[in-house]
Amino acid sequence: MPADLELLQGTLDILVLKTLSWGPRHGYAVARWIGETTDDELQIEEGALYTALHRMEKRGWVESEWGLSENNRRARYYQLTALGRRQLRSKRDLWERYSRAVSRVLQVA
Amino acid sequence: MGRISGLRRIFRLEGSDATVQRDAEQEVRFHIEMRVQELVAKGLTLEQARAEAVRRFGDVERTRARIEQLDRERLGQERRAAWWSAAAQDVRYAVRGLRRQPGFTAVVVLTLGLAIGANATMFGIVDRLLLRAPPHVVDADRVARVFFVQQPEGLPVRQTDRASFPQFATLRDTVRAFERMAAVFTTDVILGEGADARTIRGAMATAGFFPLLGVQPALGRFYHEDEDRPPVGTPVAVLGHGFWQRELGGDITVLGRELRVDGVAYTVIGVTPEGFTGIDLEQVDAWLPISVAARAGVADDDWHSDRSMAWIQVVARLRSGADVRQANAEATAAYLSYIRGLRWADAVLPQEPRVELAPLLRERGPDRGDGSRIATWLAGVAAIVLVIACANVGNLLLARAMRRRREIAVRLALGAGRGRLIAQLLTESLLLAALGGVAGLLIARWVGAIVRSVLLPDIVWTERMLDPRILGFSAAAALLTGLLAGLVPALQALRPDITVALKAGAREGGGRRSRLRTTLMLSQAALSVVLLVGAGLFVLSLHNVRTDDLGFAADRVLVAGLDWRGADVTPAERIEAYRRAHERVRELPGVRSASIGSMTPFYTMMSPELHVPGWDSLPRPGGWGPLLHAVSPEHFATMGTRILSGRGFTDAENRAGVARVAMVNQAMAALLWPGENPLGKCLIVGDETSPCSEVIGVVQDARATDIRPTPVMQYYVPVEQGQWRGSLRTLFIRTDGEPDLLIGALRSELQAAAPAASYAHIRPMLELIDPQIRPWRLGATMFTAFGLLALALAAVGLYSVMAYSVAQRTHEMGVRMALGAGGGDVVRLVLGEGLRIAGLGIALGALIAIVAGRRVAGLLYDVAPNDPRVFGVVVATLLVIAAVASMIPALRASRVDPITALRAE
Repeated sequence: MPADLELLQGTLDILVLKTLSWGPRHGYAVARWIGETTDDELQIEEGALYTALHRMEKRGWVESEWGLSENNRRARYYQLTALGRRQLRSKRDLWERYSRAVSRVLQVA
Repeated sequence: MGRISGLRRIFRLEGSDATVQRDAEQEVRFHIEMRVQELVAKGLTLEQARAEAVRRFGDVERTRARIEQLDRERLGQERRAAWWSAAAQDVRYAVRGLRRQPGFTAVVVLTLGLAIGANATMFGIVDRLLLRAPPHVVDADRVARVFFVQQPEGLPVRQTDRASFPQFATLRDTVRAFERMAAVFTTDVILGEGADARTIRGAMATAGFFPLLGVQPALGRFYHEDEDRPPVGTPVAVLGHGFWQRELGGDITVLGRELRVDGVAYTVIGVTPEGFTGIDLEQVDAWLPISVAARAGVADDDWHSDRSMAWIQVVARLRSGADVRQANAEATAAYLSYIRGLRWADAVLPQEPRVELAPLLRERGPDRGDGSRIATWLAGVAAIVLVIACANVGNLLLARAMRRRREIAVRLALGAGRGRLIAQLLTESLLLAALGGVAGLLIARWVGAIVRSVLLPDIVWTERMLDPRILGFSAAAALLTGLLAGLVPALQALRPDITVALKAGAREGGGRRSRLRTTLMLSQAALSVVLLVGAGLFVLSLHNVRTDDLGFAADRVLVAGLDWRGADVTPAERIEAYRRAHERVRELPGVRSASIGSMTPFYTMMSPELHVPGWDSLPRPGGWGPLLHAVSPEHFATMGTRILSGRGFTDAENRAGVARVAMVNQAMAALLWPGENPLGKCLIVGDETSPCSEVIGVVQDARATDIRPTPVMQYYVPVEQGQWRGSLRTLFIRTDGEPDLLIGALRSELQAAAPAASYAHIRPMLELIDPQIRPWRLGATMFTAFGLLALALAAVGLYSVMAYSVAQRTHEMGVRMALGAGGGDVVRLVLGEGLRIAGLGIALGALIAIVAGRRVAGLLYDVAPNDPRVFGVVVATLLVIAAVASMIPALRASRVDPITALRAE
């Protein structure tokens, strides 16, 4: 895993940003949404998700506030900032170009 | 910020360091618990679910620590950003406010500028004289001036840093506590020859002087020990940086060139670094080996063996590890052994002699001059001016804050934090102070240069007026001023009675809060009185010192001397040359009279052997004397010294072989023959076998060395009678008109009369006295400048307080007038109030001045520190100023139209 860390971290950021692009949600919801959407294929360590969230908050891509969860518990909600939206767009473009390039190479083989 | 900002407001959960840890823990726990719930719902047991949740999460502890750290960093960032944005906002707000009131801003900036400028100027001077080591001296704390102290019986301690060369050599060779010792003698030396000759400042220093101080040459090298070995060294010279720049244009090919000084051809081997002045702060043009220069310029071959001249200044560097007490003890022992070796003829034996090391900076040591003493006082005065300015600006800001009470109250009511409001008000005053600081530096640059060159011209000011220390000092002064002037109004404006302020508006706020402003006003008036009294005392001192009868009339007198350095002439030839010069000069048009004298007041003195019948040993009031003047008969007319009784010398008496005559001064007559007629008494000039010189006249006491009157015995004999055999002569010339105009003509006469002389020194008598008058000039000028500044500040302060108070009470005035008060009544009311404040301040200031005056008594000249004239004039001036400053607002108040004032409600 350490070898893939860089790739993984970038990927994780995109996933989280994308998840938050539909509206504020707490960390657990983000984890569940990613798990369900990918059928748990990515096997993300959930702790890493939280460090990603806090790192992005420090960079100003997301902001957080405490709110009430569906079952009335105190939960920390994250929301994209304008800067975060811009990041998501540019990272998505980058990712798409990258994956297109990789698939093309693989198809040739 | 959208929705989240909304949340923030609802929950009011502000992130802080304390909550970060709890938040991180809660967040992680929430996640795990939710996961467990989900897994339990899927059918796992609680145990299994918990294990699975943790497994999926990864390292719980590490994650929590990591997100905690990330949050802390983020909070720090946010706080800094918020601080900067608040500060920027405050500055913008302050700038806007100040631009709206350019008049107010200008007054405040000018006030602070003048005060800070005065302080920067004085700090620069005090820093140079008292704080900062002389330029290019390495590790100056371990370098000391060596003072020789003695206590003659019944007289004050006498201390000097001057020694004979053998005295210096004894210490140098025996004191172990000194790593190195050196000697230096700075004097006028003659540059060039013949008609082109002129004087420059030369320093004769031992070779050890430069390594002792640690100075490095800017060009070439300094001379070595083997080039400076008594009795005769090698004629090499090191140029002062200023001289090199000024006279040689900084030519780097100067090394190896010849420099003719005192008739000796020196080879230039180096240039000192810029600003280097040795141990004193005065300019030196050329540094010469003492073993060469002293032979030519001081005492022929005797210079290194003569024990009777105390001429060189001695400096020492302490060995590391040696302390001052130990060094003093060792040096005292060496000094005592030197004294034991003295023969009677060499000197009067000192009593209780000892050696004391003193700081390298002259002004910090025992023989500090009046100049630095007054400069220190003035620095204190400048600080007072700053306090006045501070009070003044505080007052203006307070008035402004009062006007804005309503605005502030509204903002407080709307929930603005007090801290933020204080920060905002302080930003304004700090901004003003910063502008004032800049203005102050501009003023200091301009005024400081004048003060330095006019009032302390001998000091070499190497530092630019705006060097880092002065900049730092000014910045600190501005910051302090801004805080002080801003804090009181800020706190005052935030007094908690919001509702009153809201209800009443601005109108009533002012009158009630005026006590603080009145106090500030009062202290301003008091301090102005103190400064102006100081100014008055110094101005009177200066006036007295200028107009005092010194025992001679110094204006329109020139003093001329022939310099024989490097010339091979016998004493008899020198005397003859003076006779010839005297003959020629007295015939010169524009010369009223000319005389020969052996002693030049304020320059030289002589006290040869004298006996008086009836006295075993002569009294020596003031530690001096009796001083001998061998003069030609015209001397008293030329100098303007009055003959009080008896008669003066005749031309017939002024030759060898006639009956000896003498004249004494009043002090001598009174001391030697109290209650008796001195005329006809006998003085024995020379050894006891000499014949009597009959006292034929008594002259008034003339100052000899000190501008202050000291009771020195002085006597006069005809110069040609041979009572005194010395060859020392000076020409005194009284002119009809401006003496300076005659200098050129005089010089050619002297050169014609004495072609062998290397140079003719001609100086106005006033120039000899001037250094002693300078401290009073410094004091009078600066105290007056500061006093007027303080007065102007106080006037503006009083005016602004009264004008403000009147503006606040327009309504009250309107009511009064509506009820039948006349314009005159209103004027009286306002004027009375202004004068009451000012009067209190003036009385207080006068009290302080009387107390403080005792401390400056020693610096005054013939003026009592509580001189009623000074106090009278100062008090009257301040009252008039106060009346004028209150009159303008009073008149304005009397013109209030009752209808308008009442309708304005």
